[in-house]
Amino acid sequence: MQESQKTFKQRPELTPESFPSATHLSYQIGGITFALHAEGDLLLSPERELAAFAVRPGSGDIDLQVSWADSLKVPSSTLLFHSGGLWSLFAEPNGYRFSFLSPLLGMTPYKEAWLDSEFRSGRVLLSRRFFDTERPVYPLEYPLDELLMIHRLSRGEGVEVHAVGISDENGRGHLFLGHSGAGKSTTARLWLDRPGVRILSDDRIILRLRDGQVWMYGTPWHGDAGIASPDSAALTGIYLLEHGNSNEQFPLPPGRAAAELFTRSFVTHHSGEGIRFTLEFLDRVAREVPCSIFKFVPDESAVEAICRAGA
Amino acid sequence: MPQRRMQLARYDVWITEKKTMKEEQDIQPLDQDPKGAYEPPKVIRVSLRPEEAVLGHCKVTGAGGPVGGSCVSVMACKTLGS
Repeated sequence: MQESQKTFKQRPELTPESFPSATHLSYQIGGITFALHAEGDLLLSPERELAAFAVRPGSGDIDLQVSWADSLKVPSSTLLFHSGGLWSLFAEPNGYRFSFLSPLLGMTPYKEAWLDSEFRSGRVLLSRRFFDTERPVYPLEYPLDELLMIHRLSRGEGVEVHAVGISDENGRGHLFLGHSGAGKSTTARLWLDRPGVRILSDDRIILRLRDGQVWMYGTPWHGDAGIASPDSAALTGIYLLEHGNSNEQFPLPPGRAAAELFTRSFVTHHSGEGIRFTLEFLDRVAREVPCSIFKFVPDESAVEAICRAGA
Repeated sequence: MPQRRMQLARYDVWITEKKTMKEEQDIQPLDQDPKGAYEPPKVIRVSLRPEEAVLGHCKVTGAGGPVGGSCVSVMACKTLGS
């Protein structure tokens, strides 16, 4: 008998204690390995959700040295992008520099990340002025971990989307996309009790090609339902979530589907090359996987509607 | 320069073959077109949500931040993105 993911969650969970502070830390998300190496007296400690993504420490696809800095300055190099929030991106001679600051902490950056042009290696500097240096830290705290991921993916490797990914009891991969409030976490909860169902994440999914097929990968970056899994599944259906009075599906032509996917993707907006790859990738996804608008009511009938359509 | 002349000659052949193929396509009757009738390109307007797309705001209230606090303490986030 297959067990539901909820049953699985009731097992003793991995805790930060099972993933203790260390000078080296490696984890894998969407097939991409992050390897962090602390320097000096700095100790690393991952966020709780990363425990399931841990891999044996070693070299990674993205290798990062992490150290303390006495203070950091706003870069004087060319500004490529300002997020309007915590981070800005600057051009450097051999790559890029992310600078993080908050008006609440003054106009001095609390963190910097230097990356080479291909996002394969870099250095993270944490300002002693703003961190408790006596405690282990997770230097890639939001949004740096996702920024590194989307920039690396944009180098021809995939796309991160705002979605919940679900593998049903027959192994079919369903991707439900939506902006905030569209019903991603609600959808994840509706499927959670079903035997044999695996939920990859209720907020962030990575799409990549594997053996000529589109696959979706779970991430530790979850939504309100708090579901994060390192599992993956081949993608068989894409649904754009909308609240409705009944459960209805409206198939979309590939061109429209690709455009809608783009609006729910995380893109390197400062890079024409990155946007070009993302558009080409999403165009392929939209041509290979059926996509529809899914108007749904938030109860068990929405799950049945998807299962019936795929039967 | 015999070698260069030969290269040019090959290029001419390639052009001629391409032209012949194009002419064949041009004279193909429309009702035999397996792709169906031509539809002109359409402009589709879709809306972006920049505050979510650029990862500039807090995703969850529990997200980390310096001084042992949360993302809220860093940025006073009012919008949740999950």
